[in-house]
Amino acid sequence: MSDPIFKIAKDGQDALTTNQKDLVFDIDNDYMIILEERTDTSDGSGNLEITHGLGYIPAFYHYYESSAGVWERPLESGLGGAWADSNKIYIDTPDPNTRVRTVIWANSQDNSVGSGRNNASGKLKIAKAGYDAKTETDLRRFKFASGGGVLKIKEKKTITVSTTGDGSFSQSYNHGLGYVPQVYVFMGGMQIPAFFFVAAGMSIGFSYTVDDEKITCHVFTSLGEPATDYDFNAQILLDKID
Amino acid sequence: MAIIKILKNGETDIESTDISKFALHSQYKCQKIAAVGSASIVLPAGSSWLDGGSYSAVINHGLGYIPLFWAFVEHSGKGYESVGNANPQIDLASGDGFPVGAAFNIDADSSNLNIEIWPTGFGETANNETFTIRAFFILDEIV
Repeated sequence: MSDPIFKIAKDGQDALTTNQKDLVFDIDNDYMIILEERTDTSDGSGNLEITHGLGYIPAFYHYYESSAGVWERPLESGLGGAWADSNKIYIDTPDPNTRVRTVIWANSQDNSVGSGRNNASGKLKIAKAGYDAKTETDLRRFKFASGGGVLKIKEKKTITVSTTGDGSFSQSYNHGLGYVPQVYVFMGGMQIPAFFFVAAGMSIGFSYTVDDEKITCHVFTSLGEPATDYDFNAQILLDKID
Repeated sequence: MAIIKILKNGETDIESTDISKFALHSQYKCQKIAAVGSASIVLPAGSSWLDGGSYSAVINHGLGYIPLFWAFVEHSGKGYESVGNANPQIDLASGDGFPVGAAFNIDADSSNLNIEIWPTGFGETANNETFTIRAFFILDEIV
């Protein structure tokens, strides 16, 4: 039996000839399958523990609400960071009683294909090769399940923050969604976190914030460096923080 | 015009303009995994921030462009989030009463994910510590 073909192209495009990168969906790829998207509040010490109970370490990521309606991801995690074990996810927030949006994927961090979970749901389910979508129940054995779906891409955008010396600088981009979207940002070629002589007041920091109108990228520098353009490379998703 | 729309569990409005309600919508691309990979790095016993040294590893993705990636660092049964440039600094055991840690820089180029680790702290030495870095490379360019 030949391998099944299931490809979805955007309207006006031919699914059989369109470059894989431009397809909406292709059964030849694996996906980060969303198990749960949830909003919690850290405790009075800024700690948050989320019990996932999966028995393996899931892939996950999070944002926190730094002020009302404004969500943030510093581009360095600080000491401790956010981590998961086979039962819980542990997240520290800079301030107590802070809202946190967490996306938990069914994928384990090592992308292993396990069994024993009963968490596959949805009207459309596509199992990985060798597994039967009608009988499998563990999401790790699926390429897709519509219960939680997968991340959907709005656009890619480079936001450049131009510094003119030491100080705080920012640049915004209007995403036009009317809600707070998930945004992934990467700055290539940068050492982050940047360790300089902090005790002597020399430091540099990068972060970005998202609200229901815009993405704002921030640079703080006290390095005494000349004017510099910093590129924040963003993928704006249609999936929601808030 | 043919549009395929599949709602997530609990959603009922198939005509919604809020695309976040859909598990899949044929007008918008999904994030597709192009490759996965892993590498391990050992921070050797006795290593110290004062040595000024760092240790590195590479995960090849071979895509020919800089992809979006989701990375995680596993150490002692804990899997640390390393999304974008949010590289973790991991606490390590120390017998001297001062904290010792491991700091990471994880950066991608058009061929590889380049991982660098170095000890932190104030001259205290780390034990022999192994870290495994795992990455999901997405088919789309991020740069």
